[in-house]
Parts: sequence; structure tokens; C-alpha cells
Amino acid sequence: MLYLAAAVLIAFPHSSLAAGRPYSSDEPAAVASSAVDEIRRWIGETADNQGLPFLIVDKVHAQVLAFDPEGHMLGAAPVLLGLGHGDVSPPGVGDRPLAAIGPEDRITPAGRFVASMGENLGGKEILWIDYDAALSLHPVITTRPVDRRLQRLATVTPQDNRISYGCVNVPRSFFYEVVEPAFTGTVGIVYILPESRSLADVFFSAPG
Amino acid sequence: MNVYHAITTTDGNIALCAGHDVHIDAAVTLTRGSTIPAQSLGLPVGLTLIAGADGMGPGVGGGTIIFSPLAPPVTVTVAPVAIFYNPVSYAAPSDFRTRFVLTEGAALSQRMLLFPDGGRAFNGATATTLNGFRTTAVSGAPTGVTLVAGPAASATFDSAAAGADVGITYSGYTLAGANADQYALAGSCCVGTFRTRGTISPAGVTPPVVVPPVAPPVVPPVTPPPVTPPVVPPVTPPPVAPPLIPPFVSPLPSVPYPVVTPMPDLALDLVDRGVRMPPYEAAPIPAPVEEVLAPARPAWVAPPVPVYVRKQDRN
Repeated sequence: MLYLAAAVLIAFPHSSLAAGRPYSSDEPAAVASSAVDEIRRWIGETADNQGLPFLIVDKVHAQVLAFDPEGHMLGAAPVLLGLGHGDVSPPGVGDRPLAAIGPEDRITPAGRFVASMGENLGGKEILWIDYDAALSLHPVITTRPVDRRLQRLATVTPQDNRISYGCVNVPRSFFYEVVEPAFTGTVGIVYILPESRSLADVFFSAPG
Repeated sequence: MNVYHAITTTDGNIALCAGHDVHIDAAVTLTRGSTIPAQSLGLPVGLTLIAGADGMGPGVGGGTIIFSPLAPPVTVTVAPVAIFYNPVSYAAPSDFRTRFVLTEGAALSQRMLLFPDGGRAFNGATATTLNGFRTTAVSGAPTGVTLVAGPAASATFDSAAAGADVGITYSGYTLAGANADQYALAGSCCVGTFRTRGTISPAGVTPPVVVPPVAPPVVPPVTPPPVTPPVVPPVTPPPVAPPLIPPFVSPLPSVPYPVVTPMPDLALDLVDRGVRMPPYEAAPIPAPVEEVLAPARPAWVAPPVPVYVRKQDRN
């Protein structure tokens, strides 16, 4: 757990992304959100990742940070998230066709998930975050130009990063250079921070 | 080192490191170790007890953990406990578990200290090589463990002078073998080196030639024939002069002493027909302070990777 000795969080301003840097593993500048800082400290102190690689998804700031099993930062990138606001997946959403998921139900849930690599229905490689809820992290989808997903990733503000049906979209380079190597051959942990609930409610509550 | 008063820490670490004994007379309570630099102070996570860091073992005289009969059990919650000590015998490790209350995953590891042997003949230098382990008749020899010298292994006597049990500071050696996890090298606290001892035997001393005693030939006893003494008339003895006592003479040998020729690189102080030994110079032994051990991370077993059938995700 010594990795907390270097627990100076590194994040990235959206401005750097706009400048053409899709992700960063060593930028000394910028400030991660206090929530990211807090959850990362908690993971280090409790070894909650259980020796596994992990991701922290910050919905409020629309960013993801990747770490190796020892807690060394592997990289960070902007993300696209579910259109709906909230921290809980609607019941049965994982079994609905996309057309049956209304805007208010397109929620990226908060919580701790044991994730693993897999494939979606089209055979595309994805990281299953919650298989039952059909929740995954994958390279940004560009098949619907009207969604303007690449542009949304590139803008400074996180306000326009809510577009998906709940999945987490990341830059292709981040997925294939950071996420896939880290999660190949192993499961890992994905921590999705809440936007309406508190960290304590989602992560720190006593079990049971 | 003595714990006379209760020690309690929450979200912090405790390391008690002694050259010899660690006496625990009061409560020690640790709840959750810490890896946060400002809280951990660089100490190993959890509770660490080291008794015998100055390399005077093996044997309990070299340092061990001593719990006062009235001391309450050490209480540790959600943190590892590591004990390094000298057993009475390597064949019979001590078991301190009864002195601990370990809860919520707290685990206790107990390791016996080993002391590599660095003894060699005097050569005027301090560098030496470690081989095997020092043992006593009581300690016996450790089993299932060997000493491995790494590429940067080094060992240095405290003094180059000949003598018994000269202190040695060393580094770059590790333990291997099936039972290596039951042992540890005696580390000096807060430094990356370890301590042991070795004997520097005098060099150039030719042992004297021992001539076996010559047994006299065995002559069978001869029984003289019985003789009948003749009858002699009594004789008045004449006055006898007192015996002449010779003066005391020193038993100096008649052979000459060898001439002592100093070696050019040794500043020998010749006195009469001998050599004055230089004063013993012992290198200062650093005061024991707390040692930083590499924290032992739990050995997590990754769960198997699930295999999911393809499925529509939420884009």
C-alpha cells in the first residue's frame, strides 16, 4: 500500500484534451476532483482493489483515471456518460433494447464493479462493467454522426459529455493503450463515483 | 527496549526495534495500519517487533520478545504483525500467538533471526565473506535455509584486529530454501544493512611442534632373591654438614629467542623481545532505532475472469 506515498493525484483539464492529448499518465499539472482524491486514498488505505487494476470514473467531471494493481496511475481520459442523471440503474434496464430505454433511464450507475474484458453483440471488444445491467466501457462510438461524440469528448466542458445509454465511452487510444492492456487476462475494479449521492453512501458504508 | 506504558494507535503503525530484548509490560493496541506517508512515518504497515538487531545472537541472549506476566495481550485489528526474535533453539521456535488478540484479518508472522558467519584469518583488512550461520550448542543449526550472496554482497568487520566475535555489518545477502520464510537476517534498524559477528584468528602464527612424549621401554620387574642381611654392629654416625643449597636460578631456556622482524606494512611496537599489541579499537555501534522493513502486501488471489456471451450493451 505504499503507493499512497505518491498519492498526489494527477488529472487533466479538458483544455489539454482539446489541445489534442487524448490521455495522460504523467502530466504533473491539473487537479483531480476532491472526490477522486478521496476515493483513491480510500482504495489505498483499505486495499479495496485487492491487488487488481482499477479505474475511477468521475461522472461530475466526465473523466476516467486508470491505475495498475499497485496504484500507479496508468493514464486518464475524458469520458462520455449516460444521458440521464442519477446513480442507480433502472430495474431491468440491461434486458431492454436500446429503443426501450428512455432518456431518463439512460443512467451510468455509481458503485464498485468487478469488470472484465468481453465482447458486445457486434463482437466489438469492450470492458464489461456490469454485464447484467449491460453496462460497459468501450471506445467511443462514432456510428451516429448526429451524436457528435468525438466533439463532445474534445470540448473543455463536461456538460456536453452526457450522451450514451449508460455506457462509458473513452477515446480509442485510451481504451487500447491503457484499459485493454491493464484488464487483459484479469478482472479489475471500476469505481464509478456518484453525482447525486455521497461517497460514503456508495462506497464507505458498512456491509450489510 | 521496554514498553512500560500503554501504546495505542489508530490508522498508524508501530515498530519496536531493539538491539537485544523487547520487553512488553503494558498494553499495545493497533487498529488499522497506514500507508499514508504523514501517518505511517515510513514504517512497515501494522506492528513490527524486532529483538536482536545488533547481531549478538544466536540464542535468547542475543535478544528476544519478553512479555510481562501481567501484560495484557497485544491487540491488533486489520493490520499485519511481524515478529523477529532469537529462539532458544532453532528446532523449537517460540510461539507468541497467545500474547496477541488478532481480529478482522490481522495476521501474525514470526521469524527467527539468523546470523551468518564471517570468521576468517587475520589479513589486516576489514572486508570478509559470509558463509553459513553461527550456531551454539543450544541453538543448534537452522534447517531448510541457506545464505545466498547477491551480486553486490559485502561484509565488513568493525575492526581488522584479530579477535573473537568481532562485529560485522553486511548487506546484499538473502535467505533461500524451503524454510526460509521461518527465518530472517538480523537487520540494523532504519538502515539497509544487517549485523552479525565473526572471529578473526591471528595470522602467521605457526603452531608449536608438539613432540609426543617418548614412553620409556617397559622392563619387566625382576624379583631379587631374598637376601639375609648380615648382622652389623651399631655404628655411631659421624656429624654431617648441612647440605649446600644452590642459589635460585631463573629457568631461562638455553636456546635463543627468535628475532622478531616487523612486516613493512604493519606498524609493530617492539618491546624488549616481544610486540606490544595495539589498543583495541571498536567501531561505534549505532544506536538502535526503528527499522523500516519492506511492507508485506497481502497475497491477493485474483478471481477468475468470467466468460460472457455476446450481448447488446448500452452504447
